[in-house]
Amino acid sequence: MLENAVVGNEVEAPSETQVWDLVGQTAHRRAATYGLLSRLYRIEVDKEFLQELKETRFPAKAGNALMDEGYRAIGKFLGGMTAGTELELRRDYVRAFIGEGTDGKSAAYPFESVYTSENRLRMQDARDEVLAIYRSEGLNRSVDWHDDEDHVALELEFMQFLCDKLANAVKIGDFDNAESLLATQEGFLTEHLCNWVPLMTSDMRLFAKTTFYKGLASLTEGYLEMEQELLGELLGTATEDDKQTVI
Amino acid sequence: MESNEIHAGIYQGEPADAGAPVRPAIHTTRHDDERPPQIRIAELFERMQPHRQILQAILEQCDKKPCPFAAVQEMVEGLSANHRSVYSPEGFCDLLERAGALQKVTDKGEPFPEEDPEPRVVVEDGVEYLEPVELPELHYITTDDAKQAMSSTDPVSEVEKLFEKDAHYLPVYKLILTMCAEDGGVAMPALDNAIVNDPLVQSPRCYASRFVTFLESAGAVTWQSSWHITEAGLEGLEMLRDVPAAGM
Amino acid sequence: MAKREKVDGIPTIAMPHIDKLTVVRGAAGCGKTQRLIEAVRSLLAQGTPSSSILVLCATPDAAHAFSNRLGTKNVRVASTRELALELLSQPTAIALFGHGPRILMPFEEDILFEDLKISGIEIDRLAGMFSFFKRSMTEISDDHPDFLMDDDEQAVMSTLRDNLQLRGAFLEQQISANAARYLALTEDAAHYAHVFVDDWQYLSRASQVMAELLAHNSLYVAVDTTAPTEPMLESYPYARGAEELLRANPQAHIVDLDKFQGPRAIGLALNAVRHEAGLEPCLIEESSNAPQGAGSVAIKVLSNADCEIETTADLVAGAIKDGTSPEAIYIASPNDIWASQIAHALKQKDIGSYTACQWTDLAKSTADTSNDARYLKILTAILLAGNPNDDTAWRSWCAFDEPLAASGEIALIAQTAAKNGPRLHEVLASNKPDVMSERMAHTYRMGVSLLGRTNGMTRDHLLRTLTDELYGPSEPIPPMLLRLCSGTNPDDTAEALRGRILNKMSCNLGWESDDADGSKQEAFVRIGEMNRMCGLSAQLIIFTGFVNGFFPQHGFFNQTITPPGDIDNARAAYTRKLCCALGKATKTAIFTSFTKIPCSQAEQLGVKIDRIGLENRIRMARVSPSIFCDCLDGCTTG
Repeated sequence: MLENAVVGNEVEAPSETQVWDLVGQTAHRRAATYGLLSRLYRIEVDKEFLQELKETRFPAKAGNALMDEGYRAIGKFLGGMTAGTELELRRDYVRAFIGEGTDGKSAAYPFESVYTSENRLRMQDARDEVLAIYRSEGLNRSVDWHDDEDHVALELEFMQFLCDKLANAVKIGDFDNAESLLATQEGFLTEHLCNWVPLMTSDMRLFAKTTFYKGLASLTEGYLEMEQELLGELLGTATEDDKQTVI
Repeated sequence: MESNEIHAGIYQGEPADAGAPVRPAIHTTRHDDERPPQIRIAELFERMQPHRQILQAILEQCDKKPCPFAAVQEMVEGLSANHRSVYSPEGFCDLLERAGALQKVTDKGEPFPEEDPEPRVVVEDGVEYLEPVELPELHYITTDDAKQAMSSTDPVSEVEKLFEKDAHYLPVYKLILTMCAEDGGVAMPALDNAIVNDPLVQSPRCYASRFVTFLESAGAVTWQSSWHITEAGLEGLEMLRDVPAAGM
Repeated sequence: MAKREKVDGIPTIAMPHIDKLTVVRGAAGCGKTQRLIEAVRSLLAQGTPSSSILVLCATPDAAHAFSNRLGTKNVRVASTRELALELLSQPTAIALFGHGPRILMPFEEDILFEDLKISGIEIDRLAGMFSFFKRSMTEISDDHPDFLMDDDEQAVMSTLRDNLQLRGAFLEQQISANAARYLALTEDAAHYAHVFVDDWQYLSRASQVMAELLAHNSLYVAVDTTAPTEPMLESYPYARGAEELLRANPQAHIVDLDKFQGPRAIGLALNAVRHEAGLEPCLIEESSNAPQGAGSVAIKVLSNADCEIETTADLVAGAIKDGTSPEAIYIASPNDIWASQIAHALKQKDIGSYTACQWTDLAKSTADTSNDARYLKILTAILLAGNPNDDTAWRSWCAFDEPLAASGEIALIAQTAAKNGPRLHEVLASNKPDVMSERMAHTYRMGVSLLGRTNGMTRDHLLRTLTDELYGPSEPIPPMLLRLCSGTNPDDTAEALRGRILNKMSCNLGWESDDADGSKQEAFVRIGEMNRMCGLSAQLIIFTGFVNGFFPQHGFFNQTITPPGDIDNARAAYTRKLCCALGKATKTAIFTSFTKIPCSQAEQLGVKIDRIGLENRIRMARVSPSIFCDCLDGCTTG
């Protein structure tokens, strides 16, 4: 729908309100996707969630090759579910994100600091920065969360939070705030998520054994790519190449 | 100064570019044991002696026709009610399958699909979605190799071998088997009390658990909240009819 | 002046009493060298024969620069190494020590160490002993009767001496010490009424003693007490030397220079850096009075490494276009790889450059990456072709391809040689089965046969033949060998080639360029590390790659290498190094740095990575300009 609005530029430019409506609607969908991704990284998949996933329909053509690949891999995995699948996924979660070595290179550690610091350490500058960003939006980590704040699940959840806030801002007509939220999202995506998650997903493909988590890697990487293009387009910061990709 | 070239290191989605060292991919395929199934099956039973009963029960259940996994699971869970084991029903089936004793099949006995099925595409309101496709229900069937291996195995002969090997303690075995044959079975403390003063177990000092372990491995006794004699155990007891029991 | 004393019958060298000693002290750029030059000129003006004057410098480059500034070729100006080698080449010295001044190259030293392992002492302890011996040699403390602590040390030292004698060679650390001994034992070895020494702090104790022994009437010494203690040409500079000299000669005339003679901007920058490290500042002239005018200091921060290298080349090109001659430009590069990148960028602009090198790097065991030491074999064969009596080379030849370098057999031969006096090549030629194995005899015969086949060959033919024989037919001549042979002629004999190689190894600090025949020597920019500016000065110094990880080096930021308690000292050492180089700028100093570099390059080069991120699918490392930029920032002139 966004594509039509942009392509329709030649015939009749959409009004600002129409654009914002579209932004509001996509914000809900975006929040849902971020929420799903966040959940998949936060903890292992349990029985109930696994069943939920099995009953979920994933887009066949999401508009991004990596996302399509990811959804297909996950769908295929869910089709082959057996009684042992839950255990298999739990093991693979540990294998992918916790690993078995002590050399700091035995898993796809889901922390921004690990991928952006020289010695692959946790709790580095990246963590301090994202924490400051969370706090600037009135957020802090919940008491139930016992890991670092630059965990991928938290960063994705933060984007989900911003999407919800964006949807709300559009709903009440506060377009200035909505634009500011879009800018915050774009900044967070560029300076943080897109700066390191592709490195983590690359490691996931190496360490995970199941097509579920390998598919999740593709899905995540593809979604962030698409998000970056979308936000660039909305804020007018997209390059010509990006615009062509979107259209 | 060997080379003054600096390599650009373009990240192309490869793990090495991401900073992780290149390691061999984690094995996603089973280790293919090239040995004949007969040998693998025998080795499995040899190594898993405490679980022989369960393994045999699975093979018997899946012998005549494809047996749904759910049924196998229920049976194993029943047998394991009084056993705490690290092996799940899936684990047992997996081991038997790897040894070539079980085969995954559909309810019609056809080979079970090896790969996960591709999701199907459904269209709703003009939008295409992916829907996971259900696999057929998993069934197992016992292979001919397993049947052959079972037929050549005589549980009583394991008991006989034990008595031959441990002949010095036959009176003790007789006492233990006799007590296990009683209604309701017998608990370990009672067995210990029964043999504690017997001269045969003074030097070297032995306890009832030693003998019970050997008897269980040979399939002569089984644990069901207490120690009970099996069919093979009864035959073993018959073999010892001329042997005076310990404590007599 | 010199006193040769005996302590318990063992000759030793006492610190001589000097009739007239002048010590000029000051930081870099305060005019110490100029004082020396003026003192020499003053002597000449008074009618002192130039042949009675000797000037010693720490490095050959410093000697060359001093000579140019002095403006007369009649006064002998040399590096301490050059002079020591000259002394040891005199017939009486050769008779005294039993051989000429053949210095062991690094891989030859490694083979010597293998021979010391015969002692059975645990390797780490043996390595520690070897280092201790070498250091003691440079301080001439190995003459002292209490020098060796226990039986093990004495045994190893004895084995070391036997092996060196067998090889007819010295360790680098022995050169100045033996030159000093020679001077002490030989009354008429060398006469200089007046000896001038620049950069006393970079000389080993042995070289300092040698200088004192050479000076019959006066000794004039310049010392930078703020210079970093780091090896120049000599591996163990004796920083305490000035203090000891003054203590032994309380009547010495001391001149303290505390006024920076360079441009004001450079002086201000120096003082800013010194202030940060808690060092005393220099006095600075006002711009109008400054001998070299206002000068300028600039800091340029570029976005990425490629850009920085390109900018450095542009700055050089711009300076040359504005009239600065290339030889008046020095690019202070953090390491060899960076230097070669700069040289390449300059070449793209048709600007020739000399890149600093250490010739001994081409003679290390690690330089030979082949499993069977082919490159080192060719090098050894060249030495033998130039002198078939080179015992050190024969020792190496017999070590190649042998388990444990045939040390056991050599130990036996060394004992025989020590008793009866034959040289190694004589023992090998004797082919006595009770002294050497058939295997070693065979190796020797192979070597002799190879020498026979290459006899009379000139350079190109010799290199080609040796490569064919030892590398394989149609294999290219090893590039390192070509580098070692640079500066020779195609029709040079093996002897000349050998001489050239050994000379390079002895003087070690060299310069290399792409210009094959060196015809444009004077018109080249110099690229090297900061410490290679010893004795030099430049109108324009560009401190390129001025980022954390390069300067200071990565270890500075690593708490396991530089614990918090050592940070201040480490910073002070870097400060001294920077000031020493910065003080050589006679007009302009520019610091260039960058903030991004591909991660793989950063890891390869050792740059300190602040943050890693993805940019256009490349892992990019964010890097900070050097911590020293903070204090320099306030001194920039635009």
